[in-house]
Amino acid sequence: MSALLITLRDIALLRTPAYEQFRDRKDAMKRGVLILLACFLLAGGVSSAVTFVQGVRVVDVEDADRLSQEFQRSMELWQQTTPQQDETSQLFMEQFSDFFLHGMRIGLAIDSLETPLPRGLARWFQALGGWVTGALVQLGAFLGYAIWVLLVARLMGGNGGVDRFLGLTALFAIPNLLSIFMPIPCVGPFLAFVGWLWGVVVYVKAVQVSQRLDLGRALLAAILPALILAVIVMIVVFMGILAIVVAAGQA
Amino acid sequence: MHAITKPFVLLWDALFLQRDAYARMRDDDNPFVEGLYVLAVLGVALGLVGVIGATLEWASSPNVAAIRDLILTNLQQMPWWQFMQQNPQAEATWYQIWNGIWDAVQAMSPSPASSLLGIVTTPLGLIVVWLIYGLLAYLFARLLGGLGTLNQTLGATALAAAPQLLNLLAVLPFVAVFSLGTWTLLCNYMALRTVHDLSWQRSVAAALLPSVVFVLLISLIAGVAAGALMMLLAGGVS
Repeated sequence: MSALLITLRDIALLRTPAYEQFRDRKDAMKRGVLILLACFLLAGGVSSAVTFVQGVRVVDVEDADRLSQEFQRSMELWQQTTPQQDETSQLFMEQFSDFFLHGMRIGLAIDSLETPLPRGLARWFQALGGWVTGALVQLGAFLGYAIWVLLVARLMGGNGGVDRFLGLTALFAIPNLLSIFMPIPCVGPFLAFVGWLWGVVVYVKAVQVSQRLDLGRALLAAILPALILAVIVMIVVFMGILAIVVAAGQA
Repeated sequence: MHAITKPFVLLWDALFLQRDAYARMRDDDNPFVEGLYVLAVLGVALGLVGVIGATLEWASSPNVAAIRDLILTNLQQMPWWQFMQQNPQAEATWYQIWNGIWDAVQAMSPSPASSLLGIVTTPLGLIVVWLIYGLLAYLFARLLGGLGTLNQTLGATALAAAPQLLNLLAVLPFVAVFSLGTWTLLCNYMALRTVHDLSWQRSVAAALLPSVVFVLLISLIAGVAAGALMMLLAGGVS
């Protein structure tokens, strides 16, 4: 156990021998994926616990009133910031506010409906399901992105095995443990961002070692799929805006 | 007991792309039968786990009919409801759509009774997809210069169902599993590379092409069906 912790620490500190040692393990992928799942389960644990505690508490009339007052206050603030509204916009805002309040009332009523299992147990299952699903979503996103990185790395001359590549790159999840502090206001999101950035650095190093590439190529392989995706999204958004503008012009 | 655990040991190794697992299947005396057995055991296990998960999810959720009635009561208190009631035709159409939506929600919501069907349909689904994919993958692998037999291809590609092991987590209610498609593709790549001894580029092509054919076939069928429907409707109108 202590050997594993030392390896994980060395990987987080970007020590090359730790990466090479991990890469050369026969069970690199098994270890890497299980470490990724463990990290994201730990990171999501606190948020899930908060969700569970909030879920078990029955929302009473006072809570509902407070929520509705908060919403109405934010609507008034919004209207003050945009004072010159025509009749149609005002009517729209009134209807929107009305629908939102009704929706909230319906949501709270559904929340208080009886379930066959006791409320506490049912909420615990819901929180547990959300917690596990959160980690699985991260695993899915990791795999979905990794195959494109692997393809680019291979096209640039990389020559490591798929299992070793996936095992090593999965270790980007270690610094992401910092997102355990996410529920703390202000500092939490900042720490989570630092963890994510650190994770990106670990990812690039993992690509470099697993595919035996130089740093420049590894960096390019790691970010090129994201860049291509960003360009495609921008093109789609641009086309969408263009279509709306053209349609509005014709109308 | 060993007969039950053996497929899971194989699938567990195959899940993490261990070449040994695919090679063991390739070198089996009858890879097709072994693959069929692995998928049948996995499918039944998934079906049983699905029953537990669906039952717990059903027991942790409010009754769908109660949710429907509650929403309807609240909607009827909104100003637009009185406005809509002035037009009986609009009200009838609204109820038609409303009932249609809730019938669909009721059908999709988890229930212990409907999940029992999964014990039969899950293994069947796995086997049908495996047979179609395996056959196509074999054809493409051979076209690309592969050396493996159909029997070996089917045996190894049965292990590409390994990512379905993640669905065993569905024993916990409200768990949704993602990424199975990508992972299955990687397992198929490893299976074809091991059986047919192809280069990585050709193995990628052989693993991807059956899926491309699937998508094209489904698009073609959907297109033909849509065309036939439009012709029927046009005939009916004229």
